[in-house]
Amino acid sequence: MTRSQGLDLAGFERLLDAWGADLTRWPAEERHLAEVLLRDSEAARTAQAAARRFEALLDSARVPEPALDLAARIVSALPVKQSRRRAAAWPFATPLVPALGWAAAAALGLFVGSSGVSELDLFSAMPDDGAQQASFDQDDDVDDTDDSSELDDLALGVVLPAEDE
Amino acid sequence: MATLDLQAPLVLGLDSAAFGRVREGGPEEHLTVAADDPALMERVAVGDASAYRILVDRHLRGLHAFVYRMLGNRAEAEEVCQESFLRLWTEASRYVPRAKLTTWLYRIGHNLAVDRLRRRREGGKGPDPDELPDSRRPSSILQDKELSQAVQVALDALPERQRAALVLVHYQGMSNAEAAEVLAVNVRALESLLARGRRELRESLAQFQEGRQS
Repeated sequence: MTRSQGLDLAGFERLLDAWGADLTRWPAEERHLAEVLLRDSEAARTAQAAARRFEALLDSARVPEPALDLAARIVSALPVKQSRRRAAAWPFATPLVPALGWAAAAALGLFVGSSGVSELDLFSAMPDDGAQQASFDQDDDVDDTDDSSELDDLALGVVLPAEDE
Repeated sequence: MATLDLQAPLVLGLDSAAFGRVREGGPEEHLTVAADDPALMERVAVGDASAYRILVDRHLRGLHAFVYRMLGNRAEAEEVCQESFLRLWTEASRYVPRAKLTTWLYRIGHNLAVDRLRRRREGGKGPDPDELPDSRRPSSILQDKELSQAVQVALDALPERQRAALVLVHYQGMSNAEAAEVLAVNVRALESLLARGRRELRESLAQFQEGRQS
C-alpha cells in the first residue's frame, strides 16, 4: 500500500468514490494530500484515470429536453394569487365575507320593515326627556374624561333620534 | 463531469399568450432576467407572474433533468416539474433566502419524485423508463447508441437516495454540501451515499461493457 503524508491508495480510492475524479471539487486539505500522492504513485494515477473514464461513461446518459411547451403549460396553469399589497387593502379572505354581511343587513331591514314594528315601539323602552335631562345633569358632576365605553357609544346613537322628536 | 448552468436564462418556447392569463407585475418595478433568485422570489410571493416566468425559464431544464434521471420517464418528469413549480408559486412566501432557491426547488422535486417511485412499488410496478429494450439488464443492450439507456437503467437500479445523490452531484454539478441539503442529510451521509452509489454503478456498467465485448 502506497502512503503519502497520511493518504494511502485505499484511502484515495475511497475519496474518489465520495468526491469524484475532479480534484477541484475536493476539500482543500484532502486535495493537497491527493496531489502529493498522485505525484508519487503510479497506482493512484491509474485509479484517478479509471474514475475519470467511469464519469465519462456516466456522461453518456442523455436526458431528453423538456417539451417545448412545458414552460408555457406551467405558467398557464398558475392559479391567480392575491398580492400582499392588495390583501392589506382588502382585509377579508374572500369577497364573499362582506357580501354576506351586506346580505344579512338587508335581510334584517326587510324583517324589521315587514314585521310592523313602529318607531314608537322601538323607543318605548327609552327614558322620557325629563329623566334623560336629569341623567345628563347628573352626569355633569361626574368626571367624564374617560368613562366612555363601546356600549356608551352605542347608547348615544339610540338617543339622538329621540331628541329630534 | 457534466454540469448544467442553472443560472443561465433559457429559451424554452414560451407562449406569451399563456402568460397573459395571469397577473403581471406592476409597471413600477421592472424585472430583468438578470435579477437574482431571491429578488424574483420576493416578487413571486406577492403574485408577480413575470418574476415566476423568469424563474421557470431559468430552472426548468435543470429540474427536469434531475427529475428525469430519478424517474427515467419523460411524461412523469414533466408532471413533477409542473407540480414543483406550482408549489414554488403557492409557497413562495415561505422561502427563506438562507438556502439557494435551487436547493429548495430540487428538494420539492426530489420529494415528489420519491412519492411517485413509492407509488410504483406499492402498485407492484417496477420502474417504467422510456423506450426500454426487451430486457432491463444493461448487458443485453448491445448497440453504442443504447449506451445512454444502459446508464439510465443502471441508475434506475440504484436505491433512491444513492441515485439522487449521484444525480445531484455528478449531473447537476451541486457541491456535496448543497446536495446534502436537498436530501436533508449531513455531508458525511451524502458522501457515503455517493461512494456506495458509484461502486454499484461501476459494477453494473462493467457487466454491461463485458456483455458488449463478448
